[in-house]
Amino acid sequence: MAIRKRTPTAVSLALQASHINALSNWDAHGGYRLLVATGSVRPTALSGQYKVSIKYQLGSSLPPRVQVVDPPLRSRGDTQPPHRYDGGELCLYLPRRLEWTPSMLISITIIPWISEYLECYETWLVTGEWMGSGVHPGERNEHAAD
Amino acid sequence: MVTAYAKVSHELERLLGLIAANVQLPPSLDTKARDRYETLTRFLRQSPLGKYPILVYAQGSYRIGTTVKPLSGDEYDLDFVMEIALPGLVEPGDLVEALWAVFSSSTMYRGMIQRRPSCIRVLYADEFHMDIVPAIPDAGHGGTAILIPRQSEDGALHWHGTNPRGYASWFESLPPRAILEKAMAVEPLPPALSAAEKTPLQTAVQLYKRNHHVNVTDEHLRTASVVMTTIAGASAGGVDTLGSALADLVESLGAYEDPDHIPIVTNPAAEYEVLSEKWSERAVFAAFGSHARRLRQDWQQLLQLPGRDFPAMADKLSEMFGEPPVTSAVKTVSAERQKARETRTLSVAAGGILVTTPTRHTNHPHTYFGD
Repeated sequence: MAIRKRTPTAVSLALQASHINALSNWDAHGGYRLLVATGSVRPTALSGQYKVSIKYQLGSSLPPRVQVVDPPLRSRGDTQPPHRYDGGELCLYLPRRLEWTPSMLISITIIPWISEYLECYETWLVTGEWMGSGVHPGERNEHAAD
Repeated sequence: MVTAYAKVSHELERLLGLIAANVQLPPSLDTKARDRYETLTRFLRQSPLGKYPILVYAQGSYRIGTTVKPLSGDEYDLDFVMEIALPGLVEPGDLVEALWAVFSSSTMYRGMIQRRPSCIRVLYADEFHMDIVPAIPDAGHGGTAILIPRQSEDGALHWHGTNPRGYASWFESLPPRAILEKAMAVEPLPPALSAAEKTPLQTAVQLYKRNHHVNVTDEHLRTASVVMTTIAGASAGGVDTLGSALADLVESLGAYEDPDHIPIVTNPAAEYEVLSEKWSERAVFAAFGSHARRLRQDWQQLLQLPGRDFPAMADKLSEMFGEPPVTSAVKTVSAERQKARETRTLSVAAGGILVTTPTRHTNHPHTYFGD
């Protein structure tokens, strides 16, 4: 008898919004298959506040889209901040490693990762070094889990 | 307006402490300095001078644990005294000559020494030199007071009264007292203290000196390190934090901004010794006063930045202390967070602040991607 793996059930947008709204400085609401959340993040005690938005389409293959709205992320000379998609959204996990799936709560995955990204970004602005490691598209490590 | 006494956050104090650690004599060089000191002391005791009682001890910033890395191109300057109890009277020039003769007759030292007017400089290829100042006990003042050769403007050497061991005792007695027993006065070399073991006052002095070097780029216009240390020591209040030590110091600098009123700074352990002689050159005092004004302004501006704009705060710190030690300090703090991330002990507190004390939910592992 063949054993079929069950695909984990996606968390509903209502539940996603509920957990995000339980966090201080976050406001989320879910429409038809679209969750929109905005929040204020201060990654360290010495940092300023960043206004951040998350848009997540339930059922889409696209990851939650995270934008730093204000202040916008700055370049270092001619170099743009690393690990972002073409539209400037933060690229917080390696898709092929399934580090995030729709069965996970955004409030305890994506949102803490935003703080981590902003801390690395601030250090990168000051020092030129990205301390959080990571991979770039096409690099060998991208497919290590395959 | 933010006053000098506005509370300095723990996180900013941590960063300032790391900056100070990055500008002090590194442990590897301190170990070398101690080895060379031991060798030098043995050498002097076995030399013809060794038939008299000799005491060799550190003085200055190395003695009190406030060394500061010179700006690029210069070496660490470590100062030592060779105090010798000679019978009868001796001229200062004769004592310097005797010390020079001892070093230049040594196959080990002859190729690495320089004759300075009032001391012998021993040059070590790896980033520091040791100035050995010969001295005799100052019978007139007693105790630990000594007489050292000093060159006057006409080039002649005369005896100059000073008391470096007394000075070190004074500095170490200032509030807050070092908690660790091993930080108390120990002759002839102080114990090697890590940056974390330094008192707030020691760290404040290091940052102040570094800031002076960064801002007063003409060496000839710089005020002597011992004057700045004395001013810092005199300003010390009783609160045991780096922030308050710096605030007290910055506040006290207001007394030095009037170019027409030049105070006299004396050795607290030897009031007859004027430490601020160089201020008789108005340009030197003017540079000191200008730096004092700048530091007070920079401190005010710095205190407004934590919690508002981290990169701007780091820029201000770089302006004040130079980019390399600030960059290194920022990387150290970030590396600690990355280590916590790797060991799954990083989490997020209210407002998104990253903390390394594990809470109920530590952050899930993830890999930055994208380009």
